[in-house]
Amino acid sequence: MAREQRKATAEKVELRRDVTVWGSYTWGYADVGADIYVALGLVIGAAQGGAPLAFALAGLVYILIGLAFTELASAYPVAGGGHYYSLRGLGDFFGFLSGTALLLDYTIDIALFAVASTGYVNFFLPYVGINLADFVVALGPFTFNALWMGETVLLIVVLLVLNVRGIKESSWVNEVIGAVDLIMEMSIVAFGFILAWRPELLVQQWLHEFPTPDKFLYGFSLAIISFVGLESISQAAQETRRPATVIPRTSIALIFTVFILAVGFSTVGLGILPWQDFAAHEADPIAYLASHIPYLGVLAGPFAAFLGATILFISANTGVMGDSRLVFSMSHFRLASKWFGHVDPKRRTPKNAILSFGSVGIVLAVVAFLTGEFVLDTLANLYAFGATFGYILVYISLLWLRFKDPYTPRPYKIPLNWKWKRKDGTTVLIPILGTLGLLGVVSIFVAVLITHDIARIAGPAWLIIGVIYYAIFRKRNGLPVWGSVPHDWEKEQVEVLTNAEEYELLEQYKQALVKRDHQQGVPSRWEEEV
Amino acid sequence: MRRRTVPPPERLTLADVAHFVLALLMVPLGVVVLVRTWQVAPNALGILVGLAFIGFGVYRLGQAVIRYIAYRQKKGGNVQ
Repeated sequence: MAREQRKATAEKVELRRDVTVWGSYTWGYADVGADIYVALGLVIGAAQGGAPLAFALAGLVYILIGLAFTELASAYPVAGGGHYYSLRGLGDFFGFLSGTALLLDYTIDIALFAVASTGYVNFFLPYVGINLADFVVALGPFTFNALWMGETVLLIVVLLVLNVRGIKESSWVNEVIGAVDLIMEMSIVAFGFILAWRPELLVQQWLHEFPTPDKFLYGFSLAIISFVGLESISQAAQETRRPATVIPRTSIALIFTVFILAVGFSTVGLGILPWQDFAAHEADPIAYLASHIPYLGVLAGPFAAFLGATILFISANTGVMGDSRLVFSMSHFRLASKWFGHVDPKRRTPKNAILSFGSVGIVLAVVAFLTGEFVLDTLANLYAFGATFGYILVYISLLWLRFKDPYTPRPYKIPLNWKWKRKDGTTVLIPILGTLGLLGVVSIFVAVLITHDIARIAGPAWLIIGVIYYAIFRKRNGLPVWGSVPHDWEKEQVEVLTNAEEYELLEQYKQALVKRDHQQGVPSRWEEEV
Repeated sequence: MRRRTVPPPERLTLADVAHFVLALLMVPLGVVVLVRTWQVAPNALGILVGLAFIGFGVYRLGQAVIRYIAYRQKKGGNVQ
C-alpha cells in the first residue's frame, strides 16, 4: 500500500513537471477550442443575423469568468476547479452543489461531444455514397436517426473501455492536436475574410434578419457553450510547473484567442453564407463553412471535418476523465460515497466512476436523439444550465474568499478593485469587474431558465436528485448535511504551494498567517517555519 | 495589486516565432476587412472587426518586440 502511494506520488510529481507554458495553453485549447465546432451552427440558427452580437455579449461575460478562474487557479493550483473553490469558500454543501453542476456538465460533455464528433464523421458519408437521411426511423411518437445514434453510442462505449483499461491523456497529443486545430481555425477565419467574405451579406442579415428578442435571448444564452471548458485551466493547474507564473499567462492568452475566434467565425460565416445554411448544417457547421472558401474549400472542408471529429472526440474524453476525477475528489472530501472513488487494483483506474457516469452519458445521448432534429439543441441546453450554475458559485466563492482567506497570495488578481477598510483595520479588495461578471453570469443563467424548455426542468431535477443523495449519504455516515466537517485549509494550502514548488508564495503565505496570529494575540503554529 | 514581472525568455522558441507571425498576419487581415467593408458596405460591425484585428495584432507585435529586446539584453549581459 505504502509502495503504491509512493509510486502514485512520484507519478504526480512527474506529471506536474510535464506541463509547460505551451502545454498548458494547448491543453486548454483542445478543450475550449472544440466548443465552436458545436456552437456555431446552434447559435447562428437561433440568433440568425444577430449571431455576432450574441457571441460578443456572451464572450464578454466569458472573459470576466475567465479572469475569475485565472485568479482562483493561480492562487489554489489544485485539480477540482469550481467544486474545490466552492468547498473552500462556501463549505461542504455548496462544494457538493457546485460539484453536482460540474458533474452534469462533464456528463453532458460526453454525450454532446460524442454526438458532435460523429456529426463531423457523417460529413464524409456522401463521399462514400451514403445518405444520412435514409436512416431516419420512427418508433412510436419518436423519430430519430438510427445510424447517427448508433455511431454515438459506439463512440461512448469505446471511450469508456479505453478509460477503464487505463489511458492517460497525453499532454503531447493535446499539444499537437491543439496547435493544428488553432492553425486550422485561424486559417478558415483569415482566408474566409480575404477570399469569400461579403460585407453586404453580413449587413443585409444584420438589418433584415435580426431575430425577435426571445430568439436572440435564446441564442445569447446558447453562445456561452462556445466558451465552456475553463475548468481545464484549473484541472491542468495541479500538473503545471510553477502554476502561479504560468497560469495567468496561458489562461489570459487562451481566453482572448477563443473570444476572437468565436466572434470571428460568426462574423465571417454570416458574410459568406446565409444563416439558414448554418441552421441546416448544425452537425458540421465549421466543415460546411470551410468547404465554401474559394480555391481551398475542396480540401479545407474535409480537413476541417476530420479535425472537428478528432478534437471533439478528445473533448468527449475530457468529459469521461473530468467526471471520474471530480467524483474522486468529492469522495476524498466526503461529499460522495467512497464507492465512486474506488480504484481498480489491477488497472489503477476509477472504474466505478467511469462506468456509472459514462452510462448516464449514453442515456442522455439516446434521450436527446429521441427529440428528433433537436438532438444537439437539447444537450446544449443542459450544458448551458450546468455551466452557468457552476460559474455563479465560482464567482460567489471568489468574492467570499477575498474576505475569508485574504492570506493566500494571489499571483493574479482581477483588475479594478475597490479597497474597503474594515472596522478591524484589515483591508479587503472588492473586485468591481468580478461583481460585473457575476451579474453577467446570473443574467445568462436567467436567460437559460426563461428560454430553454428542457434545461429549466432537467437541470434543477439533476441538482435536486443530487441533494437528496447527498443528504442520505451524509446522514448515514454521521456527517452534517448543511454544515461542514472540519478542514485544515491552512495546512492543505501549505502542501499545495510546496508541491507546486511556489516557495516564494509559500513564504508570503506563512508570513501573512503569522502576522494575523500576532494581531489576534495567539501563538502561531507557522512561526518556527518563517 | 501585486503583479509578477514575466522573466525575459531564455531562448527563442518555435512558439515565439509562431506568435510573432500570427500577430504580423493580423494587421493586414484587419486592413483587408476594413477596406472591403468601406468599399462595399460600410457598417459598424465590419469596421469594429477590422479595427479589432489591427489593434490586437499591433498589441501582440508590441509585446513580441519588448520580449525580443529583453531577450537580446539578457543575451548580451550573459556574454559579458
